[in-house]
Formats: sequence, C-alpha cells, structure tokens
Amino acid sequence: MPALYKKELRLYFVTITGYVFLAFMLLSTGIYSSIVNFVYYSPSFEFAVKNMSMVLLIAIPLLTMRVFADEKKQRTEQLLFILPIDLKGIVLGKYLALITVTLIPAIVMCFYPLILSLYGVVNYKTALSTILAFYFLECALCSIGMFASSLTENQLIAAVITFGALLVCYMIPSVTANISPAYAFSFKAFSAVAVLIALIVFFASSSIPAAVIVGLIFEIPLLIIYFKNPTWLSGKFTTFVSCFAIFDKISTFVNGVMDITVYVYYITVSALFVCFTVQSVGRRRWK
Amino acid sequence: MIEVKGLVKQYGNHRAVDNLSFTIGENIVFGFLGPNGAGKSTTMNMITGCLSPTEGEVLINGRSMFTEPEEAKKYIGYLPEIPPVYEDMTPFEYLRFVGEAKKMPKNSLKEKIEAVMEETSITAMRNRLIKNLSKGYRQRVGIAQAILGEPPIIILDEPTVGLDPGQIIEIRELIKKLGKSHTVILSSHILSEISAVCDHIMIISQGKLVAMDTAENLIGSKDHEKRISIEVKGGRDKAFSALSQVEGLYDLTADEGEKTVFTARFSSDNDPRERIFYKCSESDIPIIDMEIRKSSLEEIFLSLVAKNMDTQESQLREMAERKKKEGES
Repeated sequence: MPALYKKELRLYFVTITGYVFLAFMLLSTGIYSSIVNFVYYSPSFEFAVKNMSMVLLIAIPLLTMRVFADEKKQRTEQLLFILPIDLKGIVLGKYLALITVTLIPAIVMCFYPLILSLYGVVNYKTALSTILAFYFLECALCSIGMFASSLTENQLIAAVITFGALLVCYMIPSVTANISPAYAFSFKAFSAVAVLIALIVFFASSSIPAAVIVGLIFEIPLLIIYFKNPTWLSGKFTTFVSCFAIFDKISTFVNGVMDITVYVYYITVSALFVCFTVQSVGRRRWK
Repeated sequence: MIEVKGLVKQYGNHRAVDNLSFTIGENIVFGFLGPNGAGKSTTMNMITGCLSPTEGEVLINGRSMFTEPEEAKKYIGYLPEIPPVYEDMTPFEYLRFVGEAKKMPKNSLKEKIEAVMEETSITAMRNRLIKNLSKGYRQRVGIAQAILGEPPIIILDEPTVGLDPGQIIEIRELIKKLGKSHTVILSSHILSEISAVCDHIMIISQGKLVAMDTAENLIGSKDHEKRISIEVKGGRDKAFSALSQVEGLYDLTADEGEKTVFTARFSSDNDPRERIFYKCSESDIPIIDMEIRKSSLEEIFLSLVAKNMDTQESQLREMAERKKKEGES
C-alpha cells in the first residue's frame, strides 16, 4: 500500500490534475474570504468556509474522476491485480493519496483566521473546527467520487456521476422543505425506496430471489408499522432524506456548536464508500 | 510449481475456459498455443489472479491463488497482452514503483532495477516518459516489470508483439536464458516462436486442453498423420488415377510445376510406400523420388484445433437432436 500511495500522490503532481485542484480551491478560498470577510467586514472565517462547500461540487469530481476509471482505460488496473497488494490496500492507497491532496488547501485555510486576527477578533475554536469539518466533508465527498470512478472506465462519466450525486446531496435541504409530512406520503416514499434497493440488489447479483427477499425485508416492517401505528411514519421520510444532506451538516459549526457527531457522520460516510469501492473493484475481477 | 485444477470461466452462456487441468514443473519454458478466442489470455489472467474463475483452483508453489493471493503472487511476474505501464512515468520510476510494491529490499532496489533495464535494453530510455516511447520499448518496460525481483515464475502473454525482428531475437534469447533458472509460460500466435523457445507446448482450443507435450513428441506423435511426396515420370492424369487407387492415401494433390509431383496424407501407422511402389510398377509409372515428410507444428496445431471443433460441433448437434426428439415424444 505505501508504494501505491506514493505513486498516486506523485501522479497528481506530474499531471495537471493536482495543480488544477489546488489552484481552484485556493482561488475560491481567496475569493470567498475577500467577499465574506473583507467586503462585509466580518472576522468570521467560518462563513467563508461554509460558502466554499459549493465549490466542492466541481472540485471533487475533477479530482476523483481518474482514480479508477483511468486505470481501467489504460489497462494498468491489471498491474495492480498482479502485484502482491490486496484489494483493500489498492483502494486505501488511492484514497489516502486523494485525502492528502485535499489536505493541502485545508492547511492553507488555517492561515486565514491568523490573517483576519490582524483586523478583528477571531474565534479560533469555531474557525478551526469548521475548517476541520470542511476537510472531513472533502474526505467523504472524495470517497463518493472514488466509488463513482470505480464504476466506469470513462473519466467524464465518472465526473458526471459524482457531480450528479453531490448536487442531489447539496439540494436536499431545499427539497426537504417541500416534502409532505403526511404518514401516507412517507409510506409510499419508503416503499419506493424499498423497490429501488431491491432493483440495485438485482442488478448487482442478477438474482431475482435475492432482490425479492431484500425488498420484503424492507417492505414487511413498513406494512406492519403502517397498519399498527401509521402516525409514527409522519415526517419520517423528511428525517430520512435529511440524513443525505451531507453539505448541510457543516452549518452546525458555523453556528458555533462543535458537534462531534458531524465528524463521526463524515468518517462513517467515507468508510462506507471506501467499502463500496473495494466491492466494486473486486467485482470487476469476476467479470 | 503451477497446478491448475478444473479451471472454468463462464461468461453468461459462453464458456471461455472449460475444465482446464495441468501441472507445470520447475525451470522449463512452457508454450501456450491456441487460435484467437481459445481462452489463452483468460487462463493466464486466472493463473496470475487478475481474474477470478467460475470454478477450479490454481496453486502456485502450493499456495492457492484465490485464498492466499498475496503469497501466491510473490512467485509470479506477469506481462499481460497490453503492457500495463503508466504513461506519465519514466521507465525507472515505473520499475521503482513495481519493486516497492513487490516489497523488494530498499537497499538493493536501485541495483536490481539497473540490472533489469540492462537485461531488457531500456537503460538508454530510463528518463524518458513512457508515453514518448515506441511500442517495442513499452513492451520491454512491461517485460522488465515482469522479471523484476526475479520471481520463479514468469508469465508472458504475446511478449514479442510490436517488436522488430532484431528485438524479437533478443527477447527470445532472454526468454531462453530465463528458462534456465525460472519457469516461463509463454503465449504466442507465432508457431515458429513457440517451437524455437519452448520445451513444452500446450494447445488449447475453445477453452479446452487439446494437447500437451514436448514439441518433438507432438511432431513425432503416432497419433498424427504424415505427408508423402511422390515424384514420378510420365503423364500426370495417368499417375493421379493410379495413385488414387492406393489404399491408405488420402488428400492426394498434384503439385504445380514442370515435374510430376504429388502430395498425399496417410496415417502414421499405415506406411503406404510399398503399395505405391507396386501400384506404380503395375501401371508402368517410374518413381523418381518418394519422401515422407513429418507434419510441421503448424499442421499439428491446425489439425488438433479442427478436430476439437468438429468434436464439439458433433456433440452440439447430438444434443440438439436429442432435445428435438425429447420435444417430439
């Protein structure tokens, strides 16, 4: 794994990818900081960081699109399978290189509160905890992008999938405001989710019984709740959808609350998508 | 050293590799021969752990490729059909990455890389980006990657593709040299290359093992047919009609040219020379020359592959007929 990590990290900086990502992130940080802190005379860097999260919609697909897609296209993926590195090592090596690249703008961001302290009173704890949350958000988004890259050999398609997924996550807070809290709607929406999960299982395993069983595992408890205590379902779908509002979680820090559960949430998302990537890369060997 | 047991690879309804079993010993050069789509690359990919089989097992020095892949892969160096090289790296950087990934000792890594580059004649290209190298040099970088770390088993899938004649000879010499201290498995479409380099040959067709022996044994095998060339004096038509009556001769053809020469096939356990002599004598046709020619590796390959295809076709036909009858009853 260390060899792969070093190789990946090096490749980001012998190609244009790493430099474009860094330039884009640092330029965006400068622009947002200029607007939020200098135009509006506010020493709170956390607001600039929160606004920066929108930039990740473009920056993350740009960074992650080549991770596995390019290996497959260039046929170098075969080399990784030949070398005595296990699948977890391959995925972790690449993921660690990704989050090392994203660490660089996060470290540069840490200097902003120091500069702003020359012009006003800065709450370092809030600013630094927000930067840390922002970095963890980047890590979680990188894992999603890496997973998307493992699904295809076309970098552009990988970037589009990542952008689409991140855009949906970004828009969730505005969507949830319009979701009906009625229990009947929740029941229908959860049923649709159960069907969607069953379909995913079917495409992944090509097994109808497995898809039906998984679908029923979700649908039967739902039916029981619907007939026994339907009011329990009221507003539950909104709560469920809010779980995917990955960008919105950072707002907690801006409000001055250092919520450890948000860090745990980002780490969990990262771990989950790293595991999905291991499965996705492993599955290719069966094809 | 390499033990393959009941290897099967199924792609939907298509069986790319069908119950392949064989054992390869130490320090030999083993040739993999087969037409396009025979399952050579699929088999090699499964042996090296790049591809998982539907059924079966591969043991490398007693280690299972599918339950202990990391251990088993330590013994293997593999050059796939398309060299897996990173275009944005130089050969030296690429080989350093491969060496580190193979967990080679750091203190001797540089020397080992230099030695391998020397062996594959890429030292002059060490600092050029791989994307700027010719196809032949890329192939050499791929070979260097496979032999780096001196793995006891080296598997090369079409290693001479894209090389010029001089480079082909060099690579063949290298393979021969490697074969003295390593087990080398070589896949190629070029039959002359296989017969020139390999100690043992395995022929596969439609995913099935058709033959496995030394080149000499395959060529000299009694199971195969031989060819006879007969030169006679006199009219071509008269000689043709006389020779076509000789028992055990088939595929009789008259060669073009000034001389009256015929070529025919016969089963190697049924020498027709005596019968040809008496028949020609009876028909008053003087025999000028008669020569038995052993089948070349190319002919053996083609006949074995054709035989296997015929067998499979007849099996499929029988199955279809059986199903039809079952449907009718």
